[in-house]
Amino acid sequence: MDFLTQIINGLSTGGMYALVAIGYTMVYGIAKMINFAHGEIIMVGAYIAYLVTSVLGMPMIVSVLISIAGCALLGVVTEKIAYKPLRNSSSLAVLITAIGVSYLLQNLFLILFGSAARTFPAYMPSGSLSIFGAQITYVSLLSLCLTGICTGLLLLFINKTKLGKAMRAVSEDKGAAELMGINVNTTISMTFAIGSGLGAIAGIIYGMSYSLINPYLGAMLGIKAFIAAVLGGIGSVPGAMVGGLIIGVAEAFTISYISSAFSDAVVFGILIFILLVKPAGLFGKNVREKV
Amino acid sequence: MLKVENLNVHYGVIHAIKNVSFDVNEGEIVALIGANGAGKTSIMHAISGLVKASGGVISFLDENITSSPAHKIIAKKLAQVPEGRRIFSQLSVQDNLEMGAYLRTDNKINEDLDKVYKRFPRLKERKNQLAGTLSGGEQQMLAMGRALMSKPKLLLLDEPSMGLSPILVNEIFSIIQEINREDGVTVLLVEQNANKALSIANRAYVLETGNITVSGDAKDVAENPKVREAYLG
Repeated sequence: MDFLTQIINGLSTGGMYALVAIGYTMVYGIAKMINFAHGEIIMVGAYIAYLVTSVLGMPMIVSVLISIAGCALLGVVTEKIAYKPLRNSSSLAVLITAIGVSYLLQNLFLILFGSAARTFPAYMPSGSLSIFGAQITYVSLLSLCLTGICTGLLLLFINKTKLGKAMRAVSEDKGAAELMGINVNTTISMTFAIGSGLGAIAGIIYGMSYSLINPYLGAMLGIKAFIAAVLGGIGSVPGAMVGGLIIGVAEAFTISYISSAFSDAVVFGILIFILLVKPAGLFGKNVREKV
Repeated sequence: MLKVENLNVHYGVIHAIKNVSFDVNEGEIVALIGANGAGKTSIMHAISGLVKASGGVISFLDENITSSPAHKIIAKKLAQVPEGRRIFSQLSVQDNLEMGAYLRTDNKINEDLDKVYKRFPRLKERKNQLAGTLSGGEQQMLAMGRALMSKPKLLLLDEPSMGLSPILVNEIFSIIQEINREDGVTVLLVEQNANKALSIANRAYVLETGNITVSGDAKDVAENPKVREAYLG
């Protein structure tokens, strides 16, 4: 059952893309900007986990929690220092700043850790499980579970809690949200914290899946997740999830049935296709105003 | 209750509001009328903290709120129903109303929700629908219900009749009177529909290109020949 194996592999990589894509899409929904430094946050998340376990010798759960907290803090601080002063500037200025932050983080980690790859701690046994004839590694299984749990909790938070509804209100109309007493700055910080925290989890999944990490790992992962967010409809959380899974499965199929050399081309091909055919994305909304 | 003294608002080099002073006493309905672009919405936004005043003092219940941010002003029981309603179209009707009570921590929220549904039965029928699917009149009711959920002492209403049919305009205006009379909510009403506004207001101010030109009892303002010619046809 090679087919089923490929689907599950694809979904597991796709889940990682989805977690990253959710970060892009949430920040876009609230702050109306593409945070191109988001990929680097994931890289930082992977390095924090590596440091906490491989250097300090802490168990997995501790390193995951510290990594989430560290990335959430980094996301909030980045927004406060780099993006908040530009809130009323042109979107081009914000975009360039985000790219600048991305290179800043990447090069900072190059200086700190060098360009050589580090071995990510083996949190999971390396074997695999056979389900209906499909070979699923424990890492894939964990990745799928983590993605499912995180996105499930996030959807509950956004749709059912007062804070989550306030976030959606801010994303739709900041002025009206302020009139309700919602603190827009706090909401933006919270969005960056959640997006970056999910990014940390994606970084750890990346480390476990590929077992090597380097300061460049966020660049390609970030771009692919960004494509997933555009495919799903930027601003839509369910869209980012579906987009991530589609990109992951498309990539896995290309690798196994065509050639691994084509996998990036297929992913970027999807971006071009969606921009030509349905620029708003699968779940993109065209909100009409009623008078 | 609300005192605006020498208010100035600038947008870049444009001087939108020039030394405007007026006040609203507890229990009143005060109308602020004027043509499109006279600065009515700018005044409302300055009071609510959505735009910064470049000069002057706004005080509410003897407290200076001139430089308070918008999200702190509603906590002082001063709510606004903004121009164009600005309901959250992607949230359900009920969620919109809950957002109105965002800062409240008391246990009477459900009671007030029932009160809003009683006042606007159409909203109750549609409480699980996305707010964006409502008609214009229903959206106006939702925007008013949402503001009422914060239990305001002073309600700012910016162009509540905009884009509504004459029957709905009458309905909305009688609800404004009800809110004022039965719930004891003071109302500051901004309107282009001067006739309607003057018919329910106690006092009125006429705004022309950033200045107040006429003020007084609503009846006297309605009979002022200048006002009649310019706004009442």
